[in-house]
Amino acid sequence: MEEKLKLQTKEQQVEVKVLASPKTTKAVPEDMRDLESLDHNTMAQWEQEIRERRKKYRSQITRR
Amino acid sequence: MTAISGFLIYFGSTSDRDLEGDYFNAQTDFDLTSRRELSLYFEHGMDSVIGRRRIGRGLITPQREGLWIDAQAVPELPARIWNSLMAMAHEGELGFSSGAPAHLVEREEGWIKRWPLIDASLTATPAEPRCIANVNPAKALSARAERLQRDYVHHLRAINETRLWLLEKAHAY
Repeated sequence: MEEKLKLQTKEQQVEVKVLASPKTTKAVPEDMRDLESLDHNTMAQWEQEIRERRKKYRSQITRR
Repeated sequence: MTAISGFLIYFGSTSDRDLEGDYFNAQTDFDLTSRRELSLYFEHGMDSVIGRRRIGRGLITPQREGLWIDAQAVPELPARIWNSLMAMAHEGELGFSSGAPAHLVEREEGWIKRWPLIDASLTATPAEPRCIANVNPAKALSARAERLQRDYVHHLRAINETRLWLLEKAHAY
Protein backbone atom coordinates (compact mmCIF):
# COMPACT_ATOMS: atom_id res chain seq x y z
CA MET A 1 0.00 0.00 0.00
CA GLU A 2 2.79 2.33 0.89
CA GLU A 3 4.50 1.45 -2.37
CA LYS A 4 1.35 2.23 -4.34
CA LEU A 5 0.86 5.53 -2.59
CA LYS A 6 4.38 6.54 -3.43
CA LEU A 7 3.77 5.62 -7.05
CA GLN A 8 0.62 7.67 -7.17
CA THR A 9 2.51 10.61 -5.75
CA LYS A 10 5.18 10.17 -8.40
CA GLU A 11 2.52 9.92 -11.08
CA GLN A 12 1.10 13.24 -9.96
CA GLN A 13 4.56 14.75 -10.25
CA VAL A 14 4.85 13.26 -13.71
CA GLU A 15 1.53 14.77 -14.69
CA VAL A 16 2.64 18.18 -13.48
CA LYS A 17 5.88 17.92 -15.42
CA VAL A 18 4.09 16.87 -18.62
CA LEU A 19 1.68 19.77 -18.32
CA ALA A 20 4.43 22.24 -17.59
CA SER A 21 6.77 21.19 -20.40
CA PRO A 22 5.19 22.50 -23.62
CA LYS A 23 5.71 26.26 -23.75
CA THR A 24 2.79 27.36 -25.85
CA THR A 25 2.16 30.80 -24.40
CA LYS A 26 4.02 33.64 -26.14
CA ALA A 27 5.67 35.96 -23.65
CA VAL A 28 5.79 39.61 -24.70
CA PRO A 29 9.33 40.99 -24.20
CA GLU A 30 9.65 43.98 -21.90
CA ASP A 31 10.51 46.49 -24.63
CA MET A 32 7.43 45.46 -26.63
CA ARG A 33 4.95 45.65 -23.73
CA ASP A 34 4.09 49.30 -24.21
CA LEU A 35 3.36 48.62 -27.89
CA GLU A 36 1.13 45.73 -26.89
CA SER A 37 -0.84 47.95 -24.52
CA LEU A 38 -1.25 51.02 -26.76
CA ASP A 39 -4.78 52.34 -26.50
CA HIS A 40 -7.06 52.65 -29.50
CA ASN A 41 -6.79 56.45 -29.71
CA THR A 42 -2.98 56.47 -29.69
CA MET A 43 -2.93 53.81 -32.41
CA ALA A 44 -5.42 55.76 -34.52
CA GLN A 45 -3.43 58.99 -34.06
CA TRP A 46 -0.20 57.22 -35.00
CA GLU A 47 -1.73 55.81 -38.18
CA GLN A 48 -3.15 59.23 -39.02
CA GLU A 49 0.29 60.86 -38.67
CA ILE A 50 1.81 58.30 -41.04
CA ARG A 51 -0.95 58.88 -43.57
CA GLU A 52 -0.42 62.67 -43.32
CA ARG A 53 3.30 62.27 -43.96
CA ARG A 54 2.49 60.09 -46.93
CA LYS A 55 0.02 62.66 -48.28
CA LYS A 56 2.66 65.41 -48.18
CA TYR A 57 5.16 63.05 -49.79
CA ARG A 58 2.76 62.21 -52.62
CA SER A 59 2.21 65.90 -53.38
CA GLN A 60 6.01 66.40 -53.37
CA ILE A 61 6.43 63.61 -55.95
CA THR A 62 3.62 64.96 -58.11
CA ARG A 63 5.27 68.40 -58.22
CA ARG A 64 8.53 66.93 -59.56
CA MET B 1 1.96 37.10 -40.00
CA THR B 2 2.04 38.53 -43.48
CA ALA B 3 5.34 39.04 -45.29
CA ILE B 4 6.32 42.16 -47.16
CA SER B 5 8.50 42.49 -50.26
CA GLY B 6 9.80 45.04 -52.71
CA PHE B 7 12.88 46.83 -53.95
CA LEU B 8 15.04 48.10 -51.13
CA ILE B 9 17.41 49.68 -53.68
CA TYR B 10 16.38 50.70 -57.18
CA PHE B 11 19.20 51.33 -59.63
CA GLY B 12 19.21 54.68 -61.40
CA SER B 13 21.57 56.73 -63.53
CA THR B 14 22.78 60.31 -64.01
CA SER B 15 19.43 61.07 -65.64
CA ASP B 16 17.35 58.94 -63.25
CA ARG B 17 17.99 60.05 -59.67
CA ASP B 18 16.07 59.70 -56.42
CA LEU B 19 14.30 62.55 -54.59
CA GLU B 20 17.60 63.58 -52.99
CA GLY B 21 19.40 63.72 -56.33
CA ASP B 22 21.45 60.56 -55.73
CA TYR B 23 21.49 57.26 -57.55
CA PHE B 24 22.77 53.73 -57.05
CA ASN B 25 23.80 51.39 -59.83
CA ALA B 26 25.08 47.83 -60.17
CA GLN B 27 28.64 49.05 -59.48
CA THR B 28 27.72 50.44 -56.06
CA ASP B 29 29.47 48.56 -53.24
CA PHE B 30 26.72 47.49 -50.81
CA ASP B 31 29.12 45.40 -48.73
CA LEU B 32 26.69 42.48 -48.82
CA THR B 33 27.71 39.53 -46.70
CA SER B 34 26.90 35.98 -47.71
CA ARG B 35 23.97 35.92 -45.23
CA ARG B 36 22.31 38.86 -46.97
CA GLU B 37 20.04 39.35 -43.96
CA LEU B 38 19.05 42.78 -42.67
CA SER B 39 17.02 43.91 -39.70
CA LEU B 40 13.84 45.76 -40.56
CA TYR B 41 12.88 48.98 -38.75
CA PHE B 42 10.16 51.56 -39.19
CA GLU B 43 11.27 55.01 -40.34
CA HIS B 44 14.91 54.08 -39.56
CA GLY B 45 14.08 53.93 -35.85
CA MET B 46 12.81 57.52 -35.76
CA ASP B 47 9.09 56.82 -35.48
CA SER B 48 7.55 58.34 -32.34
CA VAL B 49 5.70 55.13 -31.38
CA ILE B 50 7.88 52.23 -32.57
CA GLY B 51 11.20 53.96 -32.03
CA ARG B 52 14.36 51.88 -32.44
CA ARG B 53 12.66 48.53 -31.97
CA ARG B 54 13.41 45.96 -34.64
CA ILE B 55 10.12 45.07 -36.33
CA GLY B 56 11.29 42.38 -38.74
CA ARG B 57 14.05 40.67 -40.63
CA GLY B 58 14.60 40.66 -44.34
CA LEU B 59 16.55 38.73 -46.93
CA ILE B 60 18.20 40.56 -49.83
CA THR B 61 18.21 39.22 -53.38
CA PRO B 62 20.21 41.12 -56.03
CA GLN B 63 18.25 41.62 -59.23
CA ARG B 64 18.85 43.42 -62.54
CA GLU B 65 16.84 46.49 -61.42
CA GLY B 66 18.21 46.68 -57.88
CA LEU B 67 18.19 44.86 -54.54
CA TRP B 68 14.97 43.06 -53.61
CA ILE B 69 13.95 42.41 -50.03
CA ASP B 70 11.56 39.82 -48.56
CA ALA B 71 10.84 40.64 -44.92
CA GLN B 72 8.80 39.21 -42.09
CA ALA B 73 7.91 40.43 -38.62
CA VAL B 74 10.03 39.39 -35.65
CA PRO B 75 7.91 37.07 -33.46
CA GLU B 76 8.04 39.40 -30.44
CA LEU B 77 6.43 42.32 -32.31
CA PRO B 78 2.78 42.72 -31.25
CA ALA B 79 0.56 41.54 -34.12
CA ARG B 80 -1.58 44.70 -34.00
CA ILE B 81 1.44 46.87 -34.91
CA TRP B 82 2.48 44.64 -37.81
CA ASN B 83 -1.12 44.28 -39.02
CA SER B 84 -1.54 48.04 -38.97
CA LEU B 85 1.63 48.50 -41.05
CA MET B 86 0.52 45.77 -43.45
CA ALA B 87 -2.86 47.45 -43.89
CA MET B 88 -1.09 50.69 -44.83
CA ALA B 89 1.26 48.83 -47.17
CA HIS B 90 -1.71 47.09 -48.78
CA GLU B 91 -3.13 50.55 -49.55
CA GLY B 92 0.18 51.53 -51.17
CA GLU B 93 1.15 53.91 -48.37
CA LEU B 94 4.56 52.45 -47.49
CA GLY B 95 7.86 51.92 -49.21
CA PHE B 96 11.35 50.65 -48.39
CA SER B 97 14.41 52.67 -47.51
CA SER B 98 17.94 51.50 -46.76
CA GLY B 99 20.41 52.80 -44.22
CA ALA B 100 24.21 52.95 -44.26
CA PRO B 101 26.71 54.34 -41.71
CA ALA B 102 27.50 57.91 -42.84
CA HIS B 103 31.24 57.63 -42.19
CA LEU B 104 31.54 54.75 -44.68
CA VAL B 105 29.41 56.20 -47.47
CA GLU B 106 31.16 57.49 -50.61
CA ARG B 107 29.53 59.66 -53.28
CA GLU B 108 30.79 60.89 -56.64
CA GLU B 109 28.63 63.60 -58.17
CA GLY B 110 25.42 62.00 -56.97
CA TRP B 111 26.46 58.44 -57.77
CA ILE B 112 26.59 56.48 -54.55
CA LYS B 113 29.81 54.56 -54.95
CA ARG B 114 29.80 52.89 -51.53
CA TRP B 115 26.72 52.23 -49.35
CA PRO B 116 27.39 49.49 -46.77
CA LEU B 117 23.86 48.35 -45.96
CA ILE B 118 23.15 48.32 -42.26
CA ASP B 119 19.36 48.40 -42.07
CA ALA B 120 16.19 48.25 -44.06
CA SER B 121 13.19 50.32 -43.10
CA LEU B 122 9.56 50.59 -43.95
CA THR B 123 8.75 54.24 -44.49
CA ALA B 124 5.98 56.50 -45.69
CA THR B 125 8.57 58.71 -47.42
CA PRO B 126 11.13 56.66 -49.37
CA ALA B 127 13.81 58.63 -51.24
CA GLU B 128 13.14 56.33 -54.20
CA PRO B 129 9.37 56.18 -54.96
CA ARG B 130 9.82 52.93 -56.91
CA CYS B 131 10.81 51.13 -53.71
CA ILE B 132 7.20 50.15 -53.01
CA ALA B 133 6.41 47.79 -50.14
CA ASN B 134 4.08 45.00 -51.30
CA VAL B 135 2.18 42.74 -48.94
CA ASN B 136 3.08 39.20 -49.90
CA PRO B 137 0.62 36.54 -48.64
CA ALA B 138 2.29 33.65 -50.51
CA LYS B 139 5.61 34.24 -48.72
CA ALA B 140 3.75 34.49 -45.44
CA LEU B 141 2.07 31.14 -45.99
CA SER B 142 5.34 29.38 -46.73
CA ALA B 143 6.93 31.07 -43.70
CA ARG B 144 3.99 29.93 -41.56
CA ALA B 145 4.38 26.36 -42.85
CA GLU B 146 8.09 26.45 -41.93
CA ARG B 147 7.27 27.81 -38.47
CA LEU B 148 4.62 25.15 -37.88
CA GLN B 149 7.07 22.47 -38.93
CA ARG B 150 9.68 23.85 -36.51
CA ASP B 151 7.09 23.96 -33.69
CA TYR B 152 6.02 20.40 -34.52
CA VAL B 153 9.60 19.12 -34.29
CA HIS B 154 10.08 21.07 -31.04
CA HIS B 155 6.96 19.48 -29.50
CA LEU B 156 7.93 16.01 -30.72
CA ARG B 157 11.28 16.42 -28.96
CA ALA B 158 9.53 17.57 -25.78
CA ILE B 159 7.19 14.56 -25.88
CA ASN B 160 10.13 12.23 -26.50
CA GLU B 161 12.07 13.70 -23.57
CA THR B 162 9.03 13.32 -21.32
CA ARG B 163 8.59 9.68 -22.41
CA LEU B 164 12.25 8.94 -21.68
CA TRP B 165 11.90 10.60 -18.29
CA LEU B 166 8.79 8.49 -17.55
CA LEU B 167 10.62 5.30 -18.59
CA GLU B 168 13.56 6.15 -16.33
CA LYS B 169 11.20 6.75 -13.42
CA ALA B 170 9.31 3.51 -14.14
CA HIS B 171 12.60 1.58 -14.13
CA ALA B 172 13.51 3.18 -10.81
CA TYR B 173 10.50 1.47 -9.29
